[in-house]
Amino acid sequence: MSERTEADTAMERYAAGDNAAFASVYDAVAPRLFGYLLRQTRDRARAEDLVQQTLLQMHRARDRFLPGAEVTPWAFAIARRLLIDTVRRGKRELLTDDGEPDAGISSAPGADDHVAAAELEARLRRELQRLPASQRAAFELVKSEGLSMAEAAAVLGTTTTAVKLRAHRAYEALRVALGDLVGQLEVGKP
Amino acid sequence: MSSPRLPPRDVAPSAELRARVMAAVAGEPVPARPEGERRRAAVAIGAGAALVVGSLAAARPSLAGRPTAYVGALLAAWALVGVIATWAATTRGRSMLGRSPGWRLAVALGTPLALVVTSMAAAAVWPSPALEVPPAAHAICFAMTFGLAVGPLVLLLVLHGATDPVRPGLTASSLAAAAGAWGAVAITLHCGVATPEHVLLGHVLPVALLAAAGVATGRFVAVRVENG
Repeated sequence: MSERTEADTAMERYAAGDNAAFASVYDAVAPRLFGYLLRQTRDRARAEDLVQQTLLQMHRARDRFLPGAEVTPWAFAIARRLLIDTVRRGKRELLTDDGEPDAGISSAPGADDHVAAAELEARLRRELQRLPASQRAAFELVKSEGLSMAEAAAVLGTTTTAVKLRAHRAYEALRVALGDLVGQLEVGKP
Repeated sequence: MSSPRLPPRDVAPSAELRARVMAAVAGEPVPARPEGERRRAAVAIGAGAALVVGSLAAARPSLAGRPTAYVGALLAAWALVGVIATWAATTRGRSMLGRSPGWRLAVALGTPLALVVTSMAAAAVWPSPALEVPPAAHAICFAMTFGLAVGPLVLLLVLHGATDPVRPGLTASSLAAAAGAWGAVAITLHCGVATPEHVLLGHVLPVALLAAAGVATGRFVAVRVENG
């Protein structure tokens, strides 16, 4: 069994009746969800709306939360479902083109390499969009959001082996496409 | 494996979002788990008892010329299938994301299959006389099995609503198969035709179709985007 995270213990306390514990759940989960949703939507307001809905879904499941259950894959799975549903409903579209990111998103760690980093990100984003959706989803959850293979498998409703395979294929495809930039990408670890 | 990663960026949500979420949570109280479990148990017991009484009234139990041992054995076997299917469809193991897709698929496919196998076994032990069963009899039992499964299906969807963000269609399909098994149990109390053909067409086929149609009811067990 995996180690209990701060989010796990906070949600457990909340389910057991500690109302104040939801603030800890929020603090442990919201920044990661926001980062994920911002990457997907490239729209700060939309990402915040989806974070809010995800947290509300978790709150509504308070009385059903299973003792010992992991919060992170659950939260990401809800966020991903809400994102997919929103896109399907046509409320918003995922940016799959080369459009500029939201003005509120800072794209680079420092001012000096702002242009290079933005260019790099645009290229990576283009290459990611060329990947099959299943490979892209696995790659993003594991490499960008830092989920374990098992957590990503739970979020995607598949096996750990399948996630490993998909993430590896995505990685190899990116290596072929971005061979000259892979070194820079590794420097830019979040 | 070294890997390319997306470049870092400022990903902090606004402080206003935190206040908004906390206000929304405060405005929509949800009971803690112990109270929720008590409520769900009360609904399950109350509605379950009402369904049993309603199904008995609707099905009007009768041996209708069938051997008592045949009816008893088939009822016991199908009730066992119903119990197992309900347990398998409604429990989530240790994950909030529920059982694996393979597990749920096994429930959806395995439930009608188990009904077929047990009905064939019962028919082999207590062969029924060859009868000319009019197609209307198949159709009536087919419709009644569907009708008798509606109550259990609604109850299961109420108890498991908005719980599955990953594969809601599969979860709904397994719940529909379990509900269908209870419909098949109820119709067995009533229907006097024991030929294998009739049991398969009138009593088991609706369960398989319910499991297939369950995919369409997935939205009832999916987490949903709020309107507005």
